[in-house]
Amino acid sequence: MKAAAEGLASVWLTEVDSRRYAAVRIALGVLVLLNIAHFWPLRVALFSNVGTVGGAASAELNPGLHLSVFSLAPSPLGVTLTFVCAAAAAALLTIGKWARPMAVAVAWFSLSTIQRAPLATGGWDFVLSNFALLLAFSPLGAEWRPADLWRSCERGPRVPRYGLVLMQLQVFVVYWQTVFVKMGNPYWRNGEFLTYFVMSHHGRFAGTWALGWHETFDKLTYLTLLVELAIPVLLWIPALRAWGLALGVALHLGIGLLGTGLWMFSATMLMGYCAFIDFGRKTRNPGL
Amino acid sequence: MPRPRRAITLVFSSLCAANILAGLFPPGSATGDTLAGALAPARWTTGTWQRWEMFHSIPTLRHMEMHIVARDAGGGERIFGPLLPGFGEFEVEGEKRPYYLFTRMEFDPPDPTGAEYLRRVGEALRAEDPELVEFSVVADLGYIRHLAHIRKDGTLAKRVTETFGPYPLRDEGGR
Repeated sequence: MKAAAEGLASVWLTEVDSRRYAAVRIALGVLVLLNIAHFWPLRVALFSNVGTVGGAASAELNPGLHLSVFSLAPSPLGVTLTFVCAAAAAALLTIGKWARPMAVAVAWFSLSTIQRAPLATGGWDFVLSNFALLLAFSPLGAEWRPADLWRSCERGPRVPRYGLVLMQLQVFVVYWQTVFVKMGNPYWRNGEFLTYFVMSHHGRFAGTWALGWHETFDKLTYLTLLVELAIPVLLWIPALRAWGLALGVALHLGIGLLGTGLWMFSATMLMGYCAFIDFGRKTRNPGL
Repeated sequence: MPRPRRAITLVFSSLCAANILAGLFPPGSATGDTLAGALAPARWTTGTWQRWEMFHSIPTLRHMEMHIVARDAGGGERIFGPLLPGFGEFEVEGEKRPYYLFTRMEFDPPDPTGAEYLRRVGEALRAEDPELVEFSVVADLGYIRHLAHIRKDGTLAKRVTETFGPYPLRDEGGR
């Protein structure tokens, strides 16, 4: 029993530089601000009691507790004020001011959006919600402001790494589950996915020109699966982390380039990589 | 770290890790669906849902336009955008959230979100023009054709109009 507890402690409580949490905190704060901007034109349509989505109907889809802040302020004005407060909380979280309550506020807002309008959510909303909750219970590196984080060569205070490990696991599962699901789909298996994607409403340069590039897209379809499998593994191994970052950035820039309206998804996935950035690592010893 | 906080941290982290790693069993698999069912209340309550099926299959649409077609007693038609309030419109290429919303909402037969939407549209139309007697939800869709068929004639998408309704706007039937 004691050995098991020691084992768990070594996984979760080993100490790391607090700047690593600060990087995630800053990136998450910025991403939540961007997501608020993304939601803004639709805020009344999606979250108010005069909008397109019924609150009671959304609550029926939720088998858990309905904790959405929009239930407390369902009018268009209430929704707008909630958005303004959430934006302020995200901005304060980014600069590390009153970081703990701001992290909780940002987590509550993120949860509220997916509970109130689950049918209008993208995968990135769930990534943000997961990360926001984990950050709310983790060290925040609040002593680091955005500018200091990149300028200072000093080592930060040492804090337990449990939050970072959980975020790293989350990135791992996002990529691997999506590959497992895709491998069961005929269009991913026969290599046609990317051609259809480019020709669809998601495609930035949609047109029949994609047919002439089908052989290239066929190879890129399979390459995408390999890259999605490889990214979390490469990110996890310190000596190969730069390759993981480079592949991930290339993949998500590619999605941003070929796709339209998907920049929030790409940016959110790249935000997750901040959980892997190790400030001040001097050695190539394996470890998180 | 004080002992109680240390214990809470270890338990909390281990439970969170178990929830996240359960996501490695994908939706559609027997284990994945069993775990998702058991964990659903906790995941919905905390916002830690683990469904990462983005682009798990091909997008089927090249084009999508939604509108509300309302008619008066004389057969005259008025066309409105689908977003409430204000009957706003959206462009599927740039705005993904309305696209997600309307492709996930069920109208025939309506699911709870679809039924609530139809009720709200009815109310908004009655307020807009009391002369209107019924409305339909109309989706103009451009379905991408199979690659082999596109190669033959160069036509990328097949236009299909799906109409839901008509739904009466009189108080006794429109609700």
